[in-house]
This record gives sequence, structure tokens and C-alpha cells, in this order.
Amino acid sequence: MNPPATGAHHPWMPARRPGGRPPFAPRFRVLIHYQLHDAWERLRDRVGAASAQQFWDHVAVEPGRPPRINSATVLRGARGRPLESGFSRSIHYEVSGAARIDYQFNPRWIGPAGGDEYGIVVIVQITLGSH
Amino acid sequence: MNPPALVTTDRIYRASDLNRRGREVLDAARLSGARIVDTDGTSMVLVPERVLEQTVDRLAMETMLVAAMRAWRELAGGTDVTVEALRWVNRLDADDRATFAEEVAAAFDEAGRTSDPTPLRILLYEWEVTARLPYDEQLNARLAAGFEPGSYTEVERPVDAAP
Repeated sequence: MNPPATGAHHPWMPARRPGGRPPFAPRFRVLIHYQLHDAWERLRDRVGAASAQQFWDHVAVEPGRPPRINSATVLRGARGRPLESGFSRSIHYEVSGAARIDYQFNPRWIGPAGGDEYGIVVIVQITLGSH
Repeated sequence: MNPPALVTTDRIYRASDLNRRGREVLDAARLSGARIVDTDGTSMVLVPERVLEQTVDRLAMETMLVAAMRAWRELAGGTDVTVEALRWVNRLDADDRATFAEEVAAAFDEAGRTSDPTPLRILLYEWEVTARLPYDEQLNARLAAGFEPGSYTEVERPVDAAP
């Protein structure tokens, strides 16, 4: 499967200003696999804007720490293997039974073109619960 | 490693002491635990709640250690896990079972060195959450592909719902 031609992540471009005006400075850019865009678009409707924002706020600032709201668990075995060196294991974030999101993070990512390192969070799976 | 006794004094109070020397009984309970023998001979112990919670936690931890050890032995013998609390291990495939056994063994070693089984408890919890997730072929393919920046796009903070 080929990635989309537009909207791809360009590590050398400045981060876009997030919508919803977070009350803090994000430390990680939040990236999502192109196959998960539909699920991401439906996430807010499924769990509510507040819960979706809580997830984003958590991973944009401290993805390696336990969330203050909801739960997160490090996954073991093949299900949690890091995408590559420098990435965390997958972390399984649960939004009150309505959605589950698996993500990894790399606090010192350097893009393929080089340049400064910065943190990224990579969402590798979104599972929406049924009503 | 013997657990500390709930009561560390030989002093025994009688039921009537609760009325006549209630303050003393409570102070003793706070400092050393208090043993009180009722009129029918039943021995009871009064301790601070945190002491009781620590004891319950310790018992749960030791139960978990025994269960994990049994499960590890069964896996090492190439059989399914029969320990009721750890049957979820049988949902793992062969590779993950091998990894599980290695990590549990390492966590046992660490617990032996540090006298702290907390990392083992966390490890078991993480494995249980992992084992209970359904098999996901698409996710496996994504993880196997590694991080390809062109396959990912940056997403913004979700906006508030329209009024």
C-alpha cells in the first residue's frame, strides 16, 4: 500500500499549530498512520471532544508517563515491539472502554534529512468500541 | 523472608479494658498492635488500617509469586498454564510465550536481589493486557514495516464539538 501523496509528515517542516488551542506547549508531534485517518476522524464523536483532547494533550507532553485520566499499559511481546531503535514499546491507552489507542514515542527523532532532533508520538492503532 | 508480626508485644488486654483503659488500648494498637481476648476466649487484634493493608498486599504478592513460579515451570515444561489466575498466558503464541518465560525469570531474579516483587507484578499485568488483545494482522504489518515517515501525517489537537 502506498502512502498518500499529500499531507505526509515532513520532519523538516515546522510543526503545525494544533487546533483546539492546547493550554501548554506540546513537546511531541503527534503522527498517525495514513490507514488510521478514518478512525482518528471518528474518535472525537465516539469518545467526546474532551476525552479526545485529553489523549492528545497527554501524548503531546508526557507520552511515557501514566496518564492522569484514563489508563495506559506498556504492551509486551510482538504486539509492543518498537518500530525501530529509539522508539518506545507500544503503549495501550484506553479511553473508558470506548476506544483504545496504541502508540509509540521517540523523544529524540531526527528526520531523514537531518537537522535538529525532536520528539514524536506515532499512533499505530486505533480501535473504536461499539455502542 | 518472614512477614512482620501484627502484634509485637506480649501484653494481652481483656474485653473490660476497652471501657476502663480505652485510650491505653488504642495507643498500644498504634505502636505495637493490641491483642484483646474477649470473654469467650476469642483472641482479636487491633492494628492501624495501614498495617492491615500492608499485610493484605504482602499476602497477595506472595500468592502472585507462587502462581507465577508455577506458570513458569509449566511453560518451561512445554505445557499450557493451568494456574487459574494466569490462564491468559495460553492465548500467547509460541514466540510470545518464550519471551514471557524469559522476562518472568529475569523479574524473579530481580525480585530476589531487591526483595521487591513490584516489577514482576507490573510485568505480569502488562503481559495480561497484551494477551487479552485480539490478534491484529494490520497492526502486525505496520510494526513489521518499521517507521516510514512518509506513511505518517501529523494530526492536530481535536477541536471542541460544534455548539
